[in-house]
Amino acid sequence: MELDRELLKGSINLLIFRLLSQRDMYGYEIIQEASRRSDNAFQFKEGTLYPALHQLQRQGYLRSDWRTGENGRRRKYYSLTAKGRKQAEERRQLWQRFTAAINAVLTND
Amino acid sequence: MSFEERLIEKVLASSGIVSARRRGEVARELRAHLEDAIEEARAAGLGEADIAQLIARRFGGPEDVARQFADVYRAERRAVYFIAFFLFAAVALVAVSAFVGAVQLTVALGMGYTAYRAFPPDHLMWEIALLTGLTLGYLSLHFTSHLFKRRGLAKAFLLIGGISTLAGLGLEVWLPGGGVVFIGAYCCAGAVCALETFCAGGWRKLAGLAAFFSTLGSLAPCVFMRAQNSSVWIMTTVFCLAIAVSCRFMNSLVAIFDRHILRRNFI
Repeated sequence: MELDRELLKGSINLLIFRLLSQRDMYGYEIIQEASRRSDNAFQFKEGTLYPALHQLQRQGYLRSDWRTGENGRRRKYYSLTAKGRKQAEERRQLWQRFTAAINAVLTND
Repeated sequence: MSFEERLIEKVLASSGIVSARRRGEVARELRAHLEDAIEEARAAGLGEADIAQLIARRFGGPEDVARQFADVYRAERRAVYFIAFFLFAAVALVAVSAFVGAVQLTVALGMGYTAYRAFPPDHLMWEIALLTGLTLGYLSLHFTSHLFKRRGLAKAFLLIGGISTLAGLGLEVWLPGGGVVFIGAYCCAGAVCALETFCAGGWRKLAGLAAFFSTLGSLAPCVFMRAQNSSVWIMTTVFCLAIAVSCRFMNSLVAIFDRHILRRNFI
């Protein structure tokens, strides 16, 4: 199932927060992980992930550093800051309230 | 150049990222991403042509990605732009003042006056206010007019005019008469910009400016100074003609700034 592009664009930050709250990742890994977990439903334009990561880093939610991965290649890993962790939790709760409200409207006749 | 390098170059070209270090880091990060994507596609058994198509489709339009980067780094870009503009304005002001001062001094010495007689302190302050109003007004109008799609010069004139009036009123308190000169010089800068817009070709512009400033130089001593002395008239006309040449010089500086700094880094 392919999701609407506009819907994806709005939720990209939420995905980043969720995935990084579990472990540090680099850009390509975030895309792969989002795609795997959603059973390939999340297939956004990969290039748009990087401006989103840079924006969150500028806002102080993420930090980054270059590390050598398992295959010996250097990758820029992103991790959540304390401010980012707090924001990730707030966004997760907001999203759950939002989807619960939408579901309530959709299921209650 | 490989297709991934072309893609990265396209993104960086219009990303509006000013810092060379940051551009390098973005390039490195995108390169690492594309290498991973290519490796995965090769492992899936795709040919090179198919890989290029697949990667380009998955990555998205480089213009879109660049625009998003430009949004992220807008504040930084504006800050650097303003710093660059004020540094440029300072250089232009010093250059114009030095040129106009040198021309005036040469003519004054040629007429047998001393340097002190040519530049008495009260007159010098007045002249600095005039050159500052003209130079800053000219440069501000030139760059601000680009921000508007239609009637750029008229809108810029009103906008910068408001700011110049406030600055002029402030200056008037500190230096009586200087504020009026500053605002008058700003109006001259507006006239110069309008003249340059309507006159095509470098020589026509210079001729237009020379005509405008020599008229101003002839009228100013009679209207503002009530001067009876012909040497005042000569000095004012020389001063105004030196400003006319300075305006052409500033126009060349603006073109260099536009081409090498503004368009390369900010637009």
